[in-house]
Amino acid sequence: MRQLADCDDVLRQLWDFLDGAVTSADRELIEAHLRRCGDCLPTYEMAGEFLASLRAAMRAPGQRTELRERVLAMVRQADADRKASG
Amino acid sequence: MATRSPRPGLTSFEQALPHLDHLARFARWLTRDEATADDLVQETYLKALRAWDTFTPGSDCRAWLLTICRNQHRSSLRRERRVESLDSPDLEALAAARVFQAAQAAGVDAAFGRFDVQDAVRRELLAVPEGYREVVALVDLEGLSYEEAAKLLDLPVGTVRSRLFRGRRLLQEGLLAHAEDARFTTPRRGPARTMRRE
Repeated sequence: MRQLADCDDVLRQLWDFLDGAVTSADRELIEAHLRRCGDCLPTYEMAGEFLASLRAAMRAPGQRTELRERVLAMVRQADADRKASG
Repeated sequence: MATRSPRPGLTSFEQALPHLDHLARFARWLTRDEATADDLVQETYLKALRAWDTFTPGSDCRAWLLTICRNQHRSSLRRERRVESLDSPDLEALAAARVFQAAQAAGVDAAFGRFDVQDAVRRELLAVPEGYREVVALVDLEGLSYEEAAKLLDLPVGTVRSRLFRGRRLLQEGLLAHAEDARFTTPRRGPARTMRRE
C-alpha cells in the first residue's frame, strides 16, 4: 500500500481530499495521519471552514424574479417568431 | 404507423428554465456586473433555444447551458485571455496549507466561521482574475467535479486543478489580510478537537 511519508505529502492533497477527489485508499491514509498529527489536523479543519464560507458566500440569496420574467418573455417571443416563420 | 418525433418547441425547452438561477449566479461571477450578467443570461437562453435541436435529451442540461454561457461570454470579450502558467496543483495546495498555518500562528483562524466575512468573500472573489474565478465558480458554486469542469472548459484536468487551487489561494490570502485588518482573533487553541477517533 502506498505510504504518505510525511506532513507535506498529506498537505499536498488538502484540496483533493476536501473536494472528494482522492481514492478511498488515500482517504484512509490521510485520515489516519490526521488522527495522529496535531499540525495537519487544524490546517485541514481551517481549509474546510474556508471552503464552506466560500461556497455559502457565492450563493446569491433568493430568486431573480425580474430576470426570470425577462427570459420567459424572450423565449416565448422567439418561439412565436419561429412558428410564424413556418 | 411510423411517427416522427415532434420538432422541439417551447414545451420541451422549458426544461432548461429551472437552471436560470444557476446561470444567473455563474454569469454574475464571470462578468462581475449584475446588468451585464443579466444580459449574458438572456443571450445564453436565446442561443440555447436556437440550438435546442442539438441538445441530447437526457444529457446534462445545466452543463450544456453553462457551456453556452461561458462561450458566449468569451465571444463577447472578443479576445483570447491567457492565464499565466501555473505551479503544479500539488505545490498550490501546499502553499495554501502554509497560508492557513500562518493564519493560525497569527490568531486569525476563526475568521472563516464568522458570518460577517461573507461580504469580504464576495468582494475578494470578484478581484480574482477571471481564468481562476470561472473555475472556482464551476467547482465551488456549481459543484462540478474536476472532470466535469475540465470537460466544460475543454481543458486538461490538471489545468483545472491548478486554476482552482490558485484561485482559492488568491482568495484565501485576500481574506486573511482582511481578517488581520479587522482584528479577527481567537483565544489560544486548547487540546485537539473531535476529528480524532480513539
